[in-house]
Amino acid sequence: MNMINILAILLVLAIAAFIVVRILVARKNQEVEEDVEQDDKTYTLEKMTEFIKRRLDEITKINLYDIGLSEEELKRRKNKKYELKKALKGCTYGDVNDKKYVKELIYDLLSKEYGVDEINVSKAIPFDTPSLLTAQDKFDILLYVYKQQFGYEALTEFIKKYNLAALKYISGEAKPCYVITEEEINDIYEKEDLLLTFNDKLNVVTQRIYQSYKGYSSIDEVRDMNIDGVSGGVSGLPESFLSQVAQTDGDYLDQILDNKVPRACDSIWIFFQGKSIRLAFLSFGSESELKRVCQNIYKYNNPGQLSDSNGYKINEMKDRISCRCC
Amino acid sequence: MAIITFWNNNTGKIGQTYSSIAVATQMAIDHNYKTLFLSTKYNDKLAIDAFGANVQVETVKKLVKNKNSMDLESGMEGLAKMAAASRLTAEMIPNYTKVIFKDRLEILSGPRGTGKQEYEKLYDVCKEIINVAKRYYDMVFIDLNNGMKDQTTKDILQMSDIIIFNIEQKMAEIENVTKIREDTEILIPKKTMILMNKYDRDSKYTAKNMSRELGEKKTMLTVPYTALYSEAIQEGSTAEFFISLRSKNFDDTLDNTVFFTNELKRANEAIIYKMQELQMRV
Repeated sequence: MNMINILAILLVLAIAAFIVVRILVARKNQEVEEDVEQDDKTYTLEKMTEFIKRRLDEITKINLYDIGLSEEELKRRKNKKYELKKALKGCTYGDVNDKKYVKELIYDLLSKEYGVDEINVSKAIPFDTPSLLTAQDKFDILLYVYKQQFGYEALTEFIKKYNLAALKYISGEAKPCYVITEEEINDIYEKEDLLLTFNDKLNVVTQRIYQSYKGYSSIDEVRDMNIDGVSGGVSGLPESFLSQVAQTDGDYLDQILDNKVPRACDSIWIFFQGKSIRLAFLSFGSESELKRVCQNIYKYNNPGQLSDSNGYKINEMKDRISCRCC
Repeated sequence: MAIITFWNNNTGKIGQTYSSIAVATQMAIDHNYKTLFLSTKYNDKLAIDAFGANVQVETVKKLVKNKNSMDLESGMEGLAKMAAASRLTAEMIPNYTKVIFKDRLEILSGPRGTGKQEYEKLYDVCKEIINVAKRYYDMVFIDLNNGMKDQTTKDILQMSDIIIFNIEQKMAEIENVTKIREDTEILIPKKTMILMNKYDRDSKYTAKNMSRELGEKKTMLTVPYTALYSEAIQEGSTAEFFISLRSKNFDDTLDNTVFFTNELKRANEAIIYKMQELQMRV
């Protein structure tokens, strides 16, 4: 009898020890999963955007009731969560303050959690090798630096300083037009010869991530500036039309492949002191991105549905900036 | 309502945080004022550790599967983000503080583990946070950085309703106070009170003697040194320590903790009197 009791006790203890070990191992594995996986692509913009999306989603969706907080603490954490949710919603309507708050959060998540530092920040945007920078990268950096100095007058100052709002002839066009080209941006970047600190670099990366996640893609910063308005997708051919034509005309297909036919998603115009200037160096990248931006633009104040019969929308955003999308 | 700033012009550590925590906690225990305590010092965890608030947060985090998911920044860093985005309102401040005594005392943790450059940015935002906090709380106690080098320090002193100038218990401090009064306009007599830190009543430099030397009509305030309080701060049990003091026999003036409490009560009465005096003037 005694022996059976001892055996039973040992068995219970063994089971208990087994369960404790299992729990500890599971917890350890879970902590490992939380860490950021390191590989060649870890610090690319895509990976970082993915991480930010996941983290903000986690923060806004956590069930605070599960944690067993005190009533007061629960109330406070709920308020904080609500503030973040409000900011995430508000920034898509063009609220500059909400945008600032979300960007501050992204900046902190990148620097404190994701481990972005002086060295790996250049993997996202090659700040140290100007020849590898795209015109958009250069423009983003220039605009950031000008914004530090002139605030929302940055674009105005930039255009005025380099006389970019002048009529000019570009190759392939018979008439002069208002356009800012990639070559001009490259020249200006070279002339400016900027020295960026880690803080500046991370701010540019943060803006890039923000604009592809919650912002208005490549026109996000341009839209905030003190100009008369921005248009996106108003010129060029939509992808659906291009694919239709390509089926019937082989020559056209070649031109499309050579990027000779302007696409709707490449069309970005600003209204600046009475002139419509095309930003030829900027693009939404794809029609889906243009679509996302358009959907966000006409979300605020419910201006009506964008449809085939009503193919454009002009909407005044929360910060009173008017945007037109087609 | 009122900004009460603890400040000193010495270079070393003279026990200012020690005193400011004691005064604020005693104020919360004795009076029904909504009080906020905040320290602007770089990487100073003393205020938050003194009440064991950090330990509580860590315990909660351990219970959550993904501890990062609940980690929207608290304290000054969180508020600085709100301020930077011009979204800071008075009602928002309690969401970022730690409650020590409900509706009585809350603590706003200072900048932690940030770089010097980031800290300077945060320190600058402090002014805005304090100004907004003033609208929500009856009293905002600030444990301010020492010295006069920073413009932000000067600005905070200027916007303070009461400045509690902290000194050590030595004669050289008399000269120090006189010099600051002569050279600068920071210590405006109407809103300044002098407080002696880690006070030893057996020393010959008693509060009365020092006050007389300084030509002060009223005896200067003191926060006596007590080993028990010092230990409570290190162990994160300051709140419990102050609550336990309530059962003491306050007539036993020879008891060090009784003397400590009585001096804190005297300091608080003086602060409230000064506050009411200032309100009358307005």
